[in-house]
Amino acid sequence: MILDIKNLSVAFGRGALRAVDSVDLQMQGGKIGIVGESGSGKSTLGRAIMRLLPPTARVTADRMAFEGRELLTLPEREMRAMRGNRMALIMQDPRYSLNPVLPIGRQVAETAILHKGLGKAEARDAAAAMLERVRIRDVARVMKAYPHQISGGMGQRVMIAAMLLARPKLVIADEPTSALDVSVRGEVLELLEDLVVADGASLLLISHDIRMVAAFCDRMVIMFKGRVVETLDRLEDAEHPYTRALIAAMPDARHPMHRLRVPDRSTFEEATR
Amino acid sequence: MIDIRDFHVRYGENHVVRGINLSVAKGACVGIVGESGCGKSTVLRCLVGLEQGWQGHISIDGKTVGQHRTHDELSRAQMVFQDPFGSLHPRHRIGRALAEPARCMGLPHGRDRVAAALEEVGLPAAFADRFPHELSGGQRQRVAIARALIVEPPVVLLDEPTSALDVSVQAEILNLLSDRRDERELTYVLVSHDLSVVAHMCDRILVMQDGQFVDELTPQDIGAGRATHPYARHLIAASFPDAA
Repeated sequence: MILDIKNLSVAFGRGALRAVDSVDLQMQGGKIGIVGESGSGKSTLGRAIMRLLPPTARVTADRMAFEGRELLTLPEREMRAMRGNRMALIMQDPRYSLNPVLPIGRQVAETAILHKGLGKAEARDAAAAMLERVRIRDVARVMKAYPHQISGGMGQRVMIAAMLLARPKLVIADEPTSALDVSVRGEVLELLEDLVVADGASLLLISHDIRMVAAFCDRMVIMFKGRVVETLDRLEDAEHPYTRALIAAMPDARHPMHRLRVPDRSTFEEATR
Repeated sequence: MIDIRDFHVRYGENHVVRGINLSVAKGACVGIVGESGCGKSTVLRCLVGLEQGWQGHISIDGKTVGQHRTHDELSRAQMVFQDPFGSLHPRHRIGRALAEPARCMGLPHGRDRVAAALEEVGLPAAFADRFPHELSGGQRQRVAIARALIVEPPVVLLDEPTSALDVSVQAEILNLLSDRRDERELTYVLVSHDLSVVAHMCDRILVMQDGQFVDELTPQDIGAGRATHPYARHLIAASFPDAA
């Protein structure tokens, strides 16, 4: 078992409101998607697994084990050795997550120095090889470029290269394609498929786009108000009123209608209780 | 209602819009899809009068407009922007944000008018006393739509009106836009990167690449995945991965 979570809850500060509420999640390889709207707790869940939440967050769980090791009681020093090495987080927008004043090559090489213990020159070679694997054509130029000099799609590939260099066993991708153009999204997903899943690692894809997740992932977990309302293999099997409302609210070019069905929140708020 | 001919925009060396022609009939909704940097938002900004330095011919509601607009020309077309967080003044109450365009155009702008404008977009009149940060993203986008409609323009230009919103809120906003169009016979130009939104709202969809229209589709074409131009086909395939 790569990831075994039982009864995970997150609350912030003194608030009684739980951003993540009694979530169970088991992962054994493959691709799992976490779907929800803003405020559903999907990103908080991803960060809780990485233990990247601010100190005000109160995280409790019966079990939160990664590769058999309990994460909640792990000392920060060991956690730091694990992050970026055994588990990695790919964030939404490369424009904000890359350091704007460092050249791309150095940022990718940093992972190699930190987690693989390579020397500077070796790390540069490893970074160049990795950038080639994420299908960047002009590697020598991109290594010297700064983040603002490359496109969004290329930036996301650089992020993926930096995160996957240490060959993590678990990759959490938080909206990896939302900031990108439609035609580039497919390439980034393909890349994740090739580099993560083909490498035997597991991918936890966090997204608001239920159709994209349905097409890409083996299984999807639908979240609403911090709770998991449903776990599905196929979109057609959706039973929970929230999932159905979410699907019905999306315009579909194949089934045009004059007005969209707006979810009636009271019906599924009742069903979640 | 809208007629654009031989339309070019250049920023220095950079030729952003390369000779487009577009005519939109009254009450129609035309969509423009394309990637970032293809020039789709620039076309809207020129139409509404935010950009100068374009070349070509633009007429709105039968009147040819130039680079610098009179109040009457400006009130013929209004725009709704993508980001409801950025398009409202953070220190102005909603009532002031709504009254200002009406006052500038010499239209009635009292509390009654503001209240009516809010009710038209499905918000309570009491929202006039609130600040933008007290509203959710969907509510703010409703205010942005009310702000555009308050000067009673025949043409509304929509620049990615729902891409910052959740799907359930997006459905509410798209329904609101359809209802107002049916009621007032508004003419829309909708720019978006989301093909399903454009197919849902529009009668005609133009595919833009490198400052030119390369293909014209109907919503049925998008539903069936029919397109002639390779770029349009690529866009459709990328937007509906489950259809393949």
